[in-house]
This record gives sequence, structure tokens and C-alpha cells, in this order.
Amino acid sequence: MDAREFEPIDRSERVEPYVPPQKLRERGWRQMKKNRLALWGMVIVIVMTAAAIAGPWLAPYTYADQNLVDANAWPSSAHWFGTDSLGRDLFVRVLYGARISLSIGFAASLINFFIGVIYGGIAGLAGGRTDRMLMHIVDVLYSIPMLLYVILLMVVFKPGLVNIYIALGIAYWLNMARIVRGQILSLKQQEYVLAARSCGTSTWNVLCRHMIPNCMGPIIVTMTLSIPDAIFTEAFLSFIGLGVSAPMASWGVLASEGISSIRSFPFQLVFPAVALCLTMLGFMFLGDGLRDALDPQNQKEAGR
Amino acid sequence: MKPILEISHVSVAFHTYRGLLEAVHDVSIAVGEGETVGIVGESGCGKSVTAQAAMKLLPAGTAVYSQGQICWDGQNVLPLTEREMNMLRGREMAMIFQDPMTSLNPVFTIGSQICEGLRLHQPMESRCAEEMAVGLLRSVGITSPEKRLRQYPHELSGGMRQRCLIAMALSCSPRLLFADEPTTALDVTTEAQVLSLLQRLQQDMGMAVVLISHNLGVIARMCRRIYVMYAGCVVEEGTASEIFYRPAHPYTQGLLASLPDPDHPGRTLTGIEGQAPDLFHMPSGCRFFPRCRQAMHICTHAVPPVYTVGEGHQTACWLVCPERRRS
Amino acid sequence: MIGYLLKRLAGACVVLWVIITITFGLMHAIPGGPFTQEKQLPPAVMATVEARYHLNDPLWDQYLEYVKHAAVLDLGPSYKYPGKTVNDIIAETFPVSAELGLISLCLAIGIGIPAGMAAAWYKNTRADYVLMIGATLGVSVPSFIIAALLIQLFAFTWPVLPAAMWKGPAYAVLPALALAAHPTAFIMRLTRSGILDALAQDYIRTARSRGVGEWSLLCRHALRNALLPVVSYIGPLAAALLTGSFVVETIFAIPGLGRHFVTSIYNRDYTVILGITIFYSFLIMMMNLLIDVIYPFLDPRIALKQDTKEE
Repeated sequence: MDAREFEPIDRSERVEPYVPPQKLRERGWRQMKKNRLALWGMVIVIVMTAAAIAGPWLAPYTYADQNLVDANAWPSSAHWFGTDSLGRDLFVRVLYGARISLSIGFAASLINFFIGVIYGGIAGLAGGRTDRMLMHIVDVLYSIPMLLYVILLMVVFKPGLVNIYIALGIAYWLNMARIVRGQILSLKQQEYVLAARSCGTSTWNVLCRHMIPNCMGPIIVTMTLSIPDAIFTEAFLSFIGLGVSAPMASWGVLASEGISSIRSFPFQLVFPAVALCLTMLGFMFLGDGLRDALDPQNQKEAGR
Repeated sequence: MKPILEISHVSVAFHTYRGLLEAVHDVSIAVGEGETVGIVGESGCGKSVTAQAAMKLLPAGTAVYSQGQICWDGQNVLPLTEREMNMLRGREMAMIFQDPMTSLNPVFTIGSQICEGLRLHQPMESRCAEEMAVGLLRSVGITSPEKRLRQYPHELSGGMRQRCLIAMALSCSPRLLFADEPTTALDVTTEAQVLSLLQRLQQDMGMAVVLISHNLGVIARMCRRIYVMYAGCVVEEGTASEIFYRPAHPYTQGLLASLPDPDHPGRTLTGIEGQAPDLFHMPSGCRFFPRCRQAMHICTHAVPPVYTVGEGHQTACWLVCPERRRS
Repeated sequence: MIGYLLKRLAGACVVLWVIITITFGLMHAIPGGPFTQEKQLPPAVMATVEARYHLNDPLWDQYLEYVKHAAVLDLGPSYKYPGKTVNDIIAETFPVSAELGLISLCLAIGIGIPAGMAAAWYKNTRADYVLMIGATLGVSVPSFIIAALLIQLFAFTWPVLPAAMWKGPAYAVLPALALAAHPTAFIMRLTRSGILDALAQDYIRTARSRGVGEWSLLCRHALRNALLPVVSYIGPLAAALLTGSFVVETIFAIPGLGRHFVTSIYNRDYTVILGITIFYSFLIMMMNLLIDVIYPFLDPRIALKQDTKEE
């Protein structure tokens, strides 16, 4: 063997390769990319949203155009999804339904988000007696059957799009409030928050730089999963006749109209139902994927 | 002495999202009847994986035993089915885990968890098993064992739980006990108690013990022979006195230099610079060379073979290569 | 234990009072009364009717009157069905809903938990994918669509089961399936993720190191821990199923509590709406209480909170 092999190597040449630590966001994104179902969910959600926004402009009909000659037409090149009993083009109505159903989902979950984050945040940050009182109220509200109340609210408000936003928004924020409070409480006890405090970081900075970013994972997941819930609930409301008012139609309205003619014109049920279920699936896959990706430690919800 | 457990040239890899990751590479370890063997190394060097591999406890879907064999009493256990392994686990070999807080099932009482193992290997009446469990708990130094039997894990302290885990592991008088960092999660006074308990039980029952620790002090106190692991490989093995007084591998020397020495207070402690390598970017040649102060050109591209440097003392390092001495 | 129960019952009474107040307020905020119809009643008749139901009393008096009666479990007369009290209506319709609900609950638990266990056990195999796709479909398809498809398939295309009404065991099959689909799927998902979670825990490794067999690991060590979230979901679910789903009962024309609730909304039958809401809330609270009482037996780490404070 070559004797030179046994000479010491020159240390000065070597530079330690610096591998930057991965950010949670990047790791989350990579995890998401691995999760094919979640990617599909995202694709569905994006396509549906795009269709809901752009679709009705591109279509040659509007959701209210009646054409009794063409009533109950089967799917054809003129009417891709066929027409309903008043001769309205079902494809356009499904696109409009996407607008309404998705907007209900987004609006309700946004209202949930604001009420829940403010309420839960105050409870978690204040702690002590305030926290106990606020959470007691939540517990009380929890034992109220919310679906019944949404129904009652809709009866009081009269069916209508904005009223659905409001009824769903004010009924379903409890879960969000609980999760936000649980997160804040557990974060308050984390060592790194203590560490930041012990370095003299101001409360505002602790809140903005340490607590809120660490809460975002579960909050985003809860929001994503509350969207299909809202769409679902609206579909139920439509079914018992408390949804948006005619001639507007959400997927729920379309599906329940389709049920009445299921025997003769099954396509009138199939298309809106498929659109509804696909979207539900999309949001659910996306939410599950986000949960796996953003929650590396798989934190449990605080409390039950 | 004929070894009861012989791990020879075993490599273990895991399926991860970045591909196959080799956690243990070409490791050979032998344990004789009634012998206490220590495995020492930094966290992540493959100590626990080696031990769990020996009992085939690694998750079946993700772990791959890519080469070598593990012989129990001369029989290779790698091809055994899960059912056949369960005849060995608990009865022939047992294991104590690192974290007593999470290693007990929270929804069952201590008693039912001990009795489950007992009755699994020796069919007996539940009352009889309970009596044995009381005896076991007493032998590991738990006061009022009848009461503890009815308690749930969360009602006991960490030291107490570790004793329960020891009692559980010993319940069928195994011939070999793996103790995987049994004291890491405990405070220092409890640590001493648990260690002397282990020592006493080992002498009483004549079982072999494989003690895994990152703490050289613990290892020195307990073990006759020591394996030093680094980045998934055994870099040095030898008797305790050889390792402590004539360490041959620079890594072992570094470990010893980072120990505080009560005889020389005031001596500056020198750690080992750098970090253990990322298992995905293993250096070519000797795995330790990026951190080694005595690294040579050959270390950067050739894996060092195992050289015998003394009575039962072997190391994988180019420094002790006879050709180097000659040149 | 008894102290705890009393405390919880007292709490439930307070909650019920809050619910009565909110619902009462909502009911009277609705424009139009129960007797405003397209065909106006003669003023004289209207006056007698309103006097009979105290509709002209100040709202405050009506409220006090209602609370007073509710306290002795009298939910008042129905406006739409003269001669019937709300209590009568609940007594008539609840057993039907409860029967249907109980069947669905058994279906949901009996299918959901074993299927979830199987999916967890065969994780990432084809069996798991098939089961989980089924479960995800179950959570994402609204029950009225499932109901419509079931009717179309088993009552019309392949007429083996009756499509509607409530006259015997055969009539329960389709509605029970439609009602159970969603909770079954949900329980399946909960069980699967719970088991997978538990199987990754250290204590499972401990049990394996003692030679515990795989079957026992799954059914004893993992399942016990995995069931905890399932149990807390079953509480409110049971209440919801027992009182019937509005939608499923409406589609199948089952004379249960849920369908009656929907009809009474159309009819503006205030007292019935109020009464059913209160009854339903009461049931939910009792179910939650029941779950909270049995929970400590399943999870020893959780003690009845107020109970330990008193000791």
C-alpha cells in the first residue's frame, strides 16, 4: 500500500457542508406532495372553485333561462348535463350551484374562523376565571343541538343566501374556539415560549412570532374540514326547503329536485350529486392531508 | 464460552420517504451466558436498533434486515415467524425500554400487564399469576406490591414505573435481558438504585444483560465487555479495562476525553468536534473521518477493516493498521 | 358519584332553561303566527282561539307560563292538532324514531369498529384502500342521496324491499341503512386512525417484547386505547340517531319525531317545535352525561372532575 495514504489529511481544506434546517412550511409542502390523495383533493377544490367563478360567464345559458320545449331533455351536445323540468340547462345550473355551495362553505368557515379565533384566543390568553367562564358558555352551547338551531334560525330569517351564511357561521364556531384555546393554552406552557419570555421578548412579539404561527396548523385544518360540513348542512336545509330561494339553486337544491324525478330522469340527480360528493371528497382529502402535513407531532386536541 | 446470542454482520435498513435508510451496518455482537455486555455510543448511532433487531421488534413493514444473521442458541431467528418469535420473546429474551412514562399501557393496571406476560408463557390460574406478580414487584423493591398491582401506570412515579417494567421483563426469568438506556429518563438517585437493582438481579438469576447507554460511567460500572458504536457501525470492542485504559479508536478516545475525571479536577474537558453524520450522506471510507483529528488520506476512501489490538480487543481503524506501523 | 350526578343534573336544568329561553325567543321572532293562513278566520273565531292559547297575553307572561309548565314536564298543547298535547306527540313518534335509531346505531358500531380495525390491520394494502374509499364516500355523500339511491335500487329496479312507510321489520331495512351510512363511515375512520395511533406507541413495543401475540396486541392493547375517541363520538351520535334524522324520516315517510319536527316547522306549530327541541337537547345532555360517567372506566387517567375535588 502507498505510504502516502497514511499521511494526515489537511484539515484546512475541508468545509463543513451547511445544510439549512427545513422550515415547517416547506416540510409540510413536501409531505403534501407525497400524499397523492391530498393532491387530488387540492386539484378537485381548485378546479371546482375555478369552474364556480368562471363557468357561468362562459356558458351560453343562464341559470334562470326557461325553455319549456326542451324540458327534461337528456344530456346532449346542446345541454351537456340535460335540462330540468322547466327546461333550464343543468350544466349551467350545476356551475351556479358550485358558486352558491362553495361560497356558503367559504363564508361559513370564515365566520367560524373569526368568531372562534377571537373567542378562543381571549379565553386562552386571559386564562383564569375569564377562561373558565367563557369555556363554560361553550360547554353549554355544545349541548344544544346545532342542526335544530340552524333550522330554527332559517325559519326566523327567511331562506336566503346571506341568511344561510349567518346561520351556519354563528352556529358552528364552537369547535374552532375550543381548538384555538387548547392550542394557546398548551403553547403558553411550551419551553420555547418561556425561553422567548426569558429573553425579554414583548408579549406582542411572543404572540405574533411564536404563538400564532404554531397555532396555524390546526386552525387551517379545522377550517378546511368545516367547509364540507357547511356545504353538507346547506344541502340538508335545501332538502327540507329552507335553502336558497328559487330560481337560485345550490347543489343541495338541485339534488333534492333531482330526487323527485329519479325514476324517469336519473341524470337530474346524478350530476349535482356527483358534483357535491366530489367536492366533499376533495375538501376531506385536502383536510386530512393538511393535518398529516402540518401536524408533525400529531398533536391531539386539548381536552375532549 | 459459547455465546447465547450471536449477531453477525447484520445490517438493518428502514423504508423512509427519502428511500432506504441504513441505520445499522455490518454489526457483529456476541453475548455469552450470564455475561454483561455494554453498548455505548451517541444518540442515533444504532444501539437501540441493534437491540430491537435482535428480538425482531422493529416494525415489520418498514425495517429490512438486509444481511447477516442473528443466532439465538445457534439458531438463526431471522427466518422465524412472528408466532415462533413470540415463544422466545419474554421467555428467553426480554427488554427494558428507555421511557417508563410511555412504555406501559395507560388503560390497564400494573397487575394485569404483568400477569398477561406470565400467563402467556406458563399457563396458570389468574390468582397464582397475581401471587407471582406480587413476588416480582417485591423483588424489584416496590413497597406494598398488593396495592400497586391494582394501580394504573399514571398513578406511579417514573422510578416506580421503571421498576414495574423491570419486574415485567423478568417475569419469566429470561436468559437474556436487553436494558435500553434504562435510566436515561430517571433522576440521578433513582438511576443508582435501578442500576444496583439490575446488578443484583443479574447475579441472583444468572442471566445475561446487554446494557445500552450513552453514558460511559454507567457502562463502566456494570459491564465486563463493551462495544462502541458510531453511525451504525461497531468501531471498537473489548473488555472494560482495555477500552478504558487502552482505547484504540479515536472516537473512543474522544468519548473518554469528554468524561469528567474526579481524580483530575480542573482538567479541561474536550468534546468531539462536529456532529454525527446524516445517515443519508454517509462519508465514504471511515464514517468517523470528518470528525477525526488523526484522519489520514486512506480514511477518506477506504473502509477500515477490523484489527485485533489486544486480548479480545478489536477496532476498525486505519491507525492501527500494521502496514502503517511499518512505514 | 351521587354528588357528581346531582351536580351534573342541576347543570343540565340550567342549560335546558337557557335553551327554552333562546328557542322561545326565536319562535316569537318569527313573523306570522300559527293561525295566519291564506284564508282568514272570522275575527270572532280568531279571538277565541288566541284567548285559548293565551296568544294575546304579554310575551313575558306567556314565557313564564311556559317555563312553569315545562318545569313539571308539561310541554303544552299543539296548535295544529287540537286536543293533542306536545307530550302526546312525542310519546307517539319517539318510539318509532328510537327503534329506527337503535337499529342504525347497532349497525354503525357493529360494522364501523371491525371494519376500522381491519383497515388498520391491513394498512396500505388493497383491502385498506377499498375500506377507506368506502368510508370516505360514506362521509361525503349526503344521506338523502343515499336514501334516494337505495330506494331506486331495492324498491324499484329490484323490488325486494318496501320504499316507504313503517309497518314491520322489512320497512326498517332501507331507512336504517341510509341513516347508518354516515356514522358507520365516521366510526370506521376514527377506529382506523385510533388503532394506527395506538400501534405506534411505546407500550405496544413493550407488549411485543414480552411475546404478546399480534391478535391480542390489536384487540386488547390497541383497541382499548383506540376506542376512547369513538366512545365520545357515540354519545351525541346516539342522541341524534334516536331522535331520528329529519331527512331520512321525511324521505321514507316514517312517522317519527324527525319528520314531525319538519312538518311542525311548515305548520308553524310553535309549541311542538319548542317541545321537540327541548326534548332533543335533553336527550343529548343525558347521553353526554352517560358517556362522561362511563368514560373513567375506559380511561383511568380521567377522573370525574368534580368528584375528585370533593374528596
